[in-house]
Amino acid sequence: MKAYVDKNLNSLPVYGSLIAVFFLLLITLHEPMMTWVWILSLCSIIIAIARIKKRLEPIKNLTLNLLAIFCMLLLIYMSGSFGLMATMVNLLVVACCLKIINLHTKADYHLILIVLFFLIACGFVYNQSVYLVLYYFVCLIMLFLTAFFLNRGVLSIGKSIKQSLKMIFQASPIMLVLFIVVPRFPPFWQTQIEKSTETGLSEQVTPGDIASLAQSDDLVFRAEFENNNVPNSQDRYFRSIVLDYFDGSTWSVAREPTPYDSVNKFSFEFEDTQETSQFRYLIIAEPANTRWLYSLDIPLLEENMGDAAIFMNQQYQLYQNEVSTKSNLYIISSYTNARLDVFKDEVDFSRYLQVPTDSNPRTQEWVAETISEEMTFTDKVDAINQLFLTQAFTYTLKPPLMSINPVDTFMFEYQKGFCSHYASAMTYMLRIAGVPARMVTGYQGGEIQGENILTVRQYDAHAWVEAYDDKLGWVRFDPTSLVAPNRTLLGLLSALNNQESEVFARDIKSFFDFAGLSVLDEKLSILDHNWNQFVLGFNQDAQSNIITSIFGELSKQSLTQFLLLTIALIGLFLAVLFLPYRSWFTLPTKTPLSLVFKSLSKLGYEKQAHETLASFVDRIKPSIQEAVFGPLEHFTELYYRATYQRNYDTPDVHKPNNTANNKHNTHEKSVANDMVNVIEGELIKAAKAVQLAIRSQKRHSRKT
Amino acid sequence: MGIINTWHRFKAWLKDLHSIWLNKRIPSNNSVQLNINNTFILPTSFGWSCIGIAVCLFVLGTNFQNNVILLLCYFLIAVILLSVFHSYFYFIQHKIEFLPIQADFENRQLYQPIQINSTEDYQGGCLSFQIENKGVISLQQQAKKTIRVPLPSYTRGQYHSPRVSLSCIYGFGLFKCWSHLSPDIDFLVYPKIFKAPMNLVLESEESDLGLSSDSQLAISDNLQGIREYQATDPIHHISWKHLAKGQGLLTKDFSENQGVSGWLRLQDIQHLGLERALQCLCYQIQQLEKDHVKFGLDLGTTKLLPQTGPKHIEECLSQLALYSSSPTKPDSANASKHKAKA
Repeated sequence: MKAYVDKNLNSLPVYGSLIAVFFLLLITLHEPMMTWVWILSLCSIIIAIARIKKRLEPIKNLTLNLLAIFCMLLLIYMSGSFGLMATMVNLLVVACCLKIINLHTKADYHLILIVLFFLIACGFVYNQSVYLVLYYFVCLIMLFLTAFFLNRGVLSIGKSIKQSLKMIFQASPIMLVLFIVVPRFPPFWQTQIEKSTETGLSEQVTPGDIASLAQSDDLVFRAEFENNNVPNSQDRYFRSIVLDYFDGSTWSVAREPTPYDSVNKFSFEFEDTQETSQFRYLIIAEPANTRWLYSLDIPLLEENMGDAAIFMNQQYQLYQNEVSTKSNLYIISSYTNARLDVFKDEVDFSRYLQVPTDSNPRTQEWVAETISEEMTFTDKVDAINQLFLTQAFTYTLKPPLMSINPVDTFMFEYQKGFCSHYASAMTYMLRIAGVPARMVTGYQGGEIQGENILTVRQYDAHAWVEAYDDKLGWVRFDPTSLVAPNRTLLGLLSALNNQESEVFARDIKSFFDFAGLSVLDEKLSILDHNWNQFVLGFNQDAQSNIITSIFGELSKQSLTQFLLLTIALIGLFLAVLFLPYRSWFTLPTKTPLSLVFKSLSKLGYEKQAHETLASFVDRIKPSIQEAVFGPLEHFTELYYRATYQRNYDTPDVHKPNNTANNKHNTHEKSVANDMVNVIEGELIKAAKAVQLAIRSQKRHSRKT
Repeated sequence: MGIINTWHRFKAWLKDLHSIWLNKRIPSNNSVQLNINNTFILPTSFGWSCIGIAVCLFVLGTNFQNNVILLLCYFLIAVILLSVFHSYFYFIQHKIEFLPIQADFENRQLYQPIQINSTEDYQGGCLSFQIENKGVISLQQQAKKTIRVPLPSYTRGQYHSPRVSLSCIYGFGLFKCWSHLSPDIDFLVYPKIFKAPMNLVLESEESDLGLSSDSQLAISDNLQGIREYQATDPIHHISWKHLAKGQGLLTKDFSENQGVSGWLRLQDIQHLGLERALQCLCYQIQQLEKDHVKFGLDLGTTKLLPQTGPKHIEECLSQLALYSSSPTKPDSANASKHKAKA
């Protein structure tokens, strides 16, 4: 007997989908992958396809082992400059490459499937956006399809796909229940992900920096406003970093922030000021490389759904003590009309008057000429604003380089720049004029999606000025808006001239605009938002919220009840899927014999266990009426004939000396089959005749 | 050496224990509906790896506090959990019926015919059958089908059929279901055929006069004519030509050596050794059946009167299969020995 060879192995659907998934995964893992691994994997894919297409001989084990050793050495050699995680990803890819060129047995396929499973998980370490999750979910389904194809037998491809999809989608409710129920643990040990250079605001701004952000369309955060109450575009200044130290060219954060207990201070002060407009919103901030978070003025932190604590300082900023590698979720109430003078008694204003005197002489000169000490706060500000309005300032993301005396060069030579140039220059001039001032960076504008979701991307980064007046508190000025009003009203793209905006538009949102897919873009953004909120933000608190909403208070008992409930839920689901409830509702099939026995039992005749049908009929013969006995006898005879016919029919083809007559046998068999069918039909008829006779007899006896 | 010996003995002891437990768990039965009582299920190596991956993902997801990885982990767990049920329900949709084993000669491959009925709730996949490390037979179509699973080779005698292992890996290949069913079937293995000169002692003479087989054959080959088929006629006398032409079943009527009848006697050829002698008798019986010679079989202790027909041949062959010169019956000894093994 030859060993059974599975023809599903090395069939197109199996290796095709496997190689396809491998390739799809490689595309998403480009970030941690080394260049030579890329080349190796592309080569191995080509080799694998060629080998299976041309049915080449298997590659020698020695060759492969040498190659494997070489690859491992290379990996170890290069692992220094890569992190542990990246090295592991590379290792897995290399292992996959080496195996994929030598696919033979089912075990080989299974090994690759396992490695690819793990690679998917590694991909999630780097990125968890909803798009990637959908992309990987497709990959995952393809992996399971491959696994199914290996065992599909003679089932057609279409039916296999249907069957396996059914099995996959049955898994999703269980997955959800587990996700909600299984307790979250703190990390078993500390892990560090090496991120690629993240873009974002930094604690040091040399005018020109924010331009690099303008070229990025990475998501910074999304805000979901309560009651569809969204502030106007020109009021959407999300404060992030306050810069108060200037060295002549670079603005930076002067000192460590000191946390301030915001809740106590504000809550009652705002209660009685009715004119303040309040916005309540949820912010989901993407992981970034700063610890500063985003909020409209004046923020009041209502709820923090992340793990790391969020503080507020006297500059109305929200921040964390460490840079978070995870998304931050928090709910804020902002009182946008409130005066920013809450801390006026406690702040040392001299630090907001600090200016380096050894640089930018022309600006200092200009301020000394134009602004005098006696002028009021508004006059001083107006004087500076007049300069921006009257001179030929232009807004551009590609200003010339200004390295020596940058403010002078900007103000009096080029007069070209973007937000940080304007903000920096204005703050500097205000300080010279004796007005406490500071530069604030953050995000301005954003894009409304749906009715109440605001999406803010890196190109919405902005810088503006805050100046302090004793009566008004801190007042926001945005010199950029004087030069390019559209920047604050309609966003970055509208502020640029045509040529520039074309360049950036192509980079940033060409795809959605070009294809007219803005509706789809909006839908996807909302999906991404919900994904961030419900899945990525699902943590221990959210879990306990669910438990408390079902059982009231959180206690040991309610927790046990909750766990039991979920186990019961999963059990119930499995029962619905697998219990043979279909057979409970269909009646047991009636064989002719059971029909006859049932009718006879109505007359009071029961067959004993030891009796055959014939002996039973013989026994009751004397006591039974002729009208019933006739059909019964006929039935008995037919029954035995049918039984023996069937026995005769059971294939007897394996007799020795008989192999030559196969053709004849099959013919004979089909004839016999027909005969059985005919007899079966007659049997049913006979059984019904018996039933009828018994019924009429009973009716007759009742009458008499 | 000692350790190896002990190890082998330990292994044999384990095997015995296993078979005792199996006999209790799955008693002999010719018609088996696979169900919870006779089905075993465990993860395959792929299944174990997937469980391992799920554990790894849990650790990874917890360490990075990454909900998506946890989601993937739970998805894997859910698929594994469902796979248990899918594999099991795929397996138990089959009803197995063991058909009688056709007796055959020692040197020929014996088969255990098995009829499989499936409710076909799950389609595709394949069911594998194996008896004692013999080749694996895989069944891919389900519905209702009969397959033959090769048995190991036996020496002549009567045996109880060995356990049949059937297994399946269904769905994503995460779990393997299997069962070791024991058919309740006894079967005979005839001695193998050894070509030897014919040694028929004619009844009329009752002497040691040998009749050469050649002369016998010469007589029997005369075709007399063609007549209606009767149920007792041997199948190789049917005239297939006529059947093919649609003239119904007709039998080629050979002029038989009606008068000739004789005895095959074991003692005549016992000098060849008992086994060889039995093998020769086997050959002779086959030849005489072909030639429709009436013959009896004399094995010393048992004698079968001269007869013809398939029933007689069967009787003669089974006597040869069970023959033993020693007072204890070989068949029972053999059979019991084998039963213990199974």
